[in-house]
Amino acid sequence: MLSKRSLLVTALGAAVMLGLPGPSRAQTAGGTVVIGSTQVPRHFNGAVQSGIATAMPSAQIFASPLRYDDNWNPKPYLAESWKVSPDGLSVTLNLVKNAVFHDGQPVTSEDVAFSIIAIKANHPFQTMLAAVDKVETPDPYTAVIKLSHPHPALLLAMSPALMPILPKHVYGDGQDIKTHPANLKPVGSGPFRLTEYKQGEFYTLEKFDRFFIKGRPKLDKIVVRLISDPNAMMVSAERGEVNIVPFVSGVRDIARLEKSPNLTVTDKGFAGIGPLNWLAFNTKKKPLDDVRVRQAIGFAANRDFIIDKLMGGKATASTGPIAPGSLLEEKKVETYKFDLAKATKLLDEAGLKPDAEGTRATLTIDYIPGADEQQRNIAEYLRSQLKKVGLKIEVRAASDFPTWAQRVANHDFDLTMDTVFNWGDPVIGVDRTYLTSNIRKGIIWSNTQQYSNPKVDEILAKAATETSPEKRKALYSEFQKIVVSDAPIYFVNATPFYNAFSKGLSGLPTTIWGVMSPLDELYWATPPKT
Amino acid sequence: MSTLDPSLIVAAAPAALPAAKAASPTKAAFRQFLRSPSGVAGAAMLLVLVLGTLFGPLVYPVDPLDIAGLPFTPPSADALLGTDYLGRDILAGLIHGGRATLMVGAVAALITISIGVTVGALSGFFGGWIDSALVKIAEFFQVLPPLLFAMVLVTLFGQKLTTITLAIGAVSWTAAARLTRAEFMRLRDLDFIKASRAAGAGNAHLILRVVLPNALPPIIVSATLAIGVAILFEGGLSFLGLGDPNTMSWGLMIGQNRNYVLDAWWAVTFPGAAIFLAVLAISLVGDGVNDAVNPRLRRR
Repeated sequence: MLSKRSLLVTALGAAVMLGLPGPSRAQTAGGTVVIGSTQVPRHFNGAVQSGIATAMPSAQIFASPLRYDDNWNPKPYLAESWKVSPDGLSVTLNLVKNAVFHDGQPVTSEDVAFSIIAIKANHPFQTMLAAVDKVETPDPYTAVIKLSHPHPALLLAMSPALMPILPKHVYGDGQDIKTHPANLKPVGSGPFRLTEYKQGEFYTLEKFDRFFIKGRPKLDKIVVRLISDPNAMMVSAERGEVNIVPFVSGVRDIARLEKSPNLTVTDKGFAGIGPLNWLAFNTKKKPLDDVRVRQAIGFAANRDFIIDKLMGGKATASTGPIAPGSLLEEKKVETYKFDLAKATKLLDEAGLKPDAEGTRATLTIDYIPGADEQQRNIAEYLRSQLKKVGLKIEVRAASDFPTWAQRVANHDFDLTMDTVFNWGDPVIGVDRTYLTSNIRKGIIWSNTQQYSNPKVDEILAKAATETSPEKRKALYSEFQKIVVSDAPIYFVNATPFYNAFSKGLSGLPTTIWGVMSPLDELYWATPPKT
Repeated sequence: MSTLDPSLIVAAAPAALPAAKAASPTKAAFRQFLRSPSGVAGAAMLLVLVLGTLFGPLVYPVDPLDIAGLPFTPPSADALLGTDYLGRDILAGLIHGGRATLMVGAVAALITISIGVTVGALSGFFGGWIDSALVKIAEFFQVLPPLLFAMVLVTLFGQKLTTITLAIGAVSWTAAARLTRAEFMRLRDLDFIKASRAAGAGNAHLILRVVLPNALPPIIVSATLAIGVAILFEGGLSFLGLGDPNTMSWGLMIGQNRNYVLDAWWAVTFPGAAIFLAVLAISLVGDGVNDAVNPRLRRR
């Protein structure tokens, strides 16, 4: 949903990136950008912490083996080239020779090996590097990743957001990496170095002069202001006190920023995260253990109404477990197009007879507190909507996130709204929701639906190790069709995430990882008036 | 001692007040109340609100939780007072929600007064260590910010209308307790009480039949005002997102719609006005009652 103006700006930016002679050569470097963020990072080490709060600064401070363009193509970063062996069991990275850490030490294969093992041991995404057996370092600029089975998701796992290369000489001192003091005073090899952090207020990233890509980063400084009040954030953006607002998801906030003459608003830059907003069923609880009841709820809900009317048309419909924008998304699945008659028929078949008041069953619905438009409003909508087919829904409010997470993680729910990220490759962010082996009580965002289908387990296991992209796509396509028809989840929409940029900024981060990718190409084409 | 029937003294007690004239005190108070224009206006408003919420649902049987139209429909022929962010009918919300709001107000005020009067009566009547202990307990509740305390209770025990009502009652009884205690301390040493005691009246009899009726006028006023406070409290809790999402109330309407005030002013303005009018009406009635039961005013 790029406006014409922003398309022009992006095109201009692209022209400059390609090294075409631009008219404003003199204005391509220097300057400061202020980012406003509601996300307060616990620390800056993306190797041991997932989530956008850490990933954004971590991608600036640490370099990673690969980076991605806006079409899922891997690009050289710390690895100037890479090679996957024909059997898929080893991946060789040839590192650039001029990369140094912020303290001047060179980046070598030792650091890469150390980091991969550290991430495997500490990162919350356990499936991401589970296949890695060891990393061999035949010379300082070659790292060979040895796998126990082919693992095509590995290339995506080498993204800036997921695989920051840590300096072994700092982190290899025997302390626990999760609580390492360097997590708050990070030393990386990325385009920016952290120079100041005032807990909960702001952090400052300054240009690293010896960054290994010549002429980058273009900016001198990035200041990230942590603004917890969304309204204050909007005002700051409109007044130009903040130049970038990432991860805006409120429909009204988006509309408001779009109206501002000083800002460009885009929904590009989130394909990697693949954020999905859905209605999950407790498939072990009566009457939801009957697939017909779950399907009936899908047919009774009107996805078009939710997206067009409740979300003001700002969200994208999602019909399956893989997010729109992923190359693996299968569109040809049962979409559960709104059909009350069909819903009623399915409920009848399932043996849910209406009582004297027309009620067939009474169910509860939970939602994640704090995200009204994506969660609470839909829960309330469903209460009204499902009444039409005789399902009485009671909305259970949770006063805070842990309350909700505890209920859902402990399978103490009937229906719940939920938001789960794909994180690029199904192996990283999708499988966890459907694998029988991931039904783990007490862990949020595991298979809390308790969905179990041996066929799905089998397909996912096969797809995780399938090296042929076509065969892999076919496997995931089958997986999506089965899951959608088994309906452990009614898929509603992709969470609308938008980034707002001050006009005058060029080289915008519109790749699949957006601002969770190095901002080394960003610059002021038209510097702001001061 | 046995020759005197204590109940005679009870009957005589109100008569001991200088205000008593030929007519019964209740009738006199009622007449005095009718003489206060603001009190009558308040009572009339309140009557309209109560009748509206009692019989409105019969006249306008739209479910306030149902989606009746498109979201953010402005007041028009389709929806007289417009719809909210989900498309729920605001008029239905006002009519049905008023029932819950007024009910919460009344029940919470009842709880407030029950606890307050019990605690106040015991500590004021007995004094001594009972007084010290109860005052300590009351102080404990008093130093906690009431809204914050209520939020904690609702968070702990769930966002249900009953929990909310109980929480409001639990946090706001101290004022009534202090008032009752002061009245009891003032009254317990008066001659007619002593006489009653001398006639052999037991403590329970003295508290319930002798002192309490005489302490009642200020308590009635405070009870009336407590309803208004409880309604505001419910609004406040809902505003902070701690309303009962399954029961429409005026507070819930404001709380849920406040984020959309720039898109749909009607969704917050009407319930806001309803709360304003209800609390105003109750305050006016409270003032009227205060005037009516105040002996000094009654003689004018």
